[in-house]
Amino acid sequence: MNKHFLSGMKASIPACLGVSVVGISIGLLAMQAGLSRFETMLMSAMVMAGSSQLMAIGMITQGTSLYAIILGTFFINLRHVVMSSSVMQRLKEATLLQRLVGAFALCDESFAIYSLSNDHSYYFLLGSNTALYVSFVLSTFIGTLMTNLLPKIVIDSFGIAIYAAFLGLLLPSVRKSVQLITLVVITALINWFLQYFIPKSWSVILAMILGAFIGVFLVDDETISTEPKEETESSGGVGSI
Amino acid sequence: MNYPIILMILGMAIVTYIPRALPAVVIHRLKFSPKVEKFLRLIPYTAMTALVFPGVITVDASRPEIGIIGGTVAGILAWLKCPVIVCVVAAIATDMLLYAAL
Repeated sequence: MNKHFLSGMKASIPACLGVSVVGISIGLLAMQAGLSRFETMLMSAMVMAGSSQLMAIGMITQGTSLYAIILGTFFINLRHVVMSSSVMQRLKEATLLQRLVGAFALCDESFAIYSLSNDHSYYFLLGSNTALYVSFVLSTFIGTLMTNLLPKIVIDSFGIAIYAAFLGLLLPSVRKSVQLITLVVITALINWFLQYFIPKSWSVILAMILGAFIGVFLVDDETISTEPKEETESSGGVGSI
Repeated sequence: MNYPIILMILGMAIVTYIPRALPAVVIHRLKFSPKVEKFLRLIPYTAMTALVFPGVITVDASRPEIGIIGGTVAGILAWLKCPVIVCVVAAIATDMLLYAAL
């Protein structure tokens, strides 16, 4: 352990709280969707990308095919290639193995923390990744335990939970931009329209791609820039994890 | 053990790791045009949107108000920047009340 690793961990503490909130929701909702505790934990430990995991859970409850879920995951997490290439530019001194390890838990939070820090060492990134990863997996575990505590009347009302989780991720990050709100409305309409012609799970994937494509022309660069903002929000958002 | 779920998780892990790992291998060559970058960053927003609308209305196919009112409560709290778990708990509580009332 060196001091870069520790300062990376320390810098990540506020973001760990935000990540844990998402982790708890995932643990709870995945168990409710019928995954076992082992499967739920395995998903968080291997994928470590909250939005896509929530998407997968939502699609499982809708009875979506495996392929659609994996394809959707691919698209939703494709943005990490941009963050990773920005981080890796600064890690040319690191060995290939180190870079591959650093890439594993690289997420929106660790990208923002690393980019805003003055310390661009490999071990700082690893410390940040480790803190976020451990928080995420642990909080998923806590979420899986919470399902045992729920009485049946709560479980009967659980259908709304996954939608509430999506709204909880989406709305805080679009509320300040009329352009993003417009894009949300357009995407919703596209999806609504497509569902009359193709199966639901595929209309979701097609609508997200078409919506993002329209957004390229609709939304200003500054609104959705890759540059991390100074305010590190701990409450999450779509850009979160 | 549920093999389709395990397969799904493995598939998700692979397709998530590839975009993260690719720049680690080919450090020098990856340049994205601003448009491509924007497209990639917008996908989570449009994905969350497509997952909510219009599916939320059919949470309980026989009672659309369950989804609409529960979703509205979650939406308002989310708009006020409440944490995800708060939105989830409040939406469940709302629907519990709706089911209990009728």
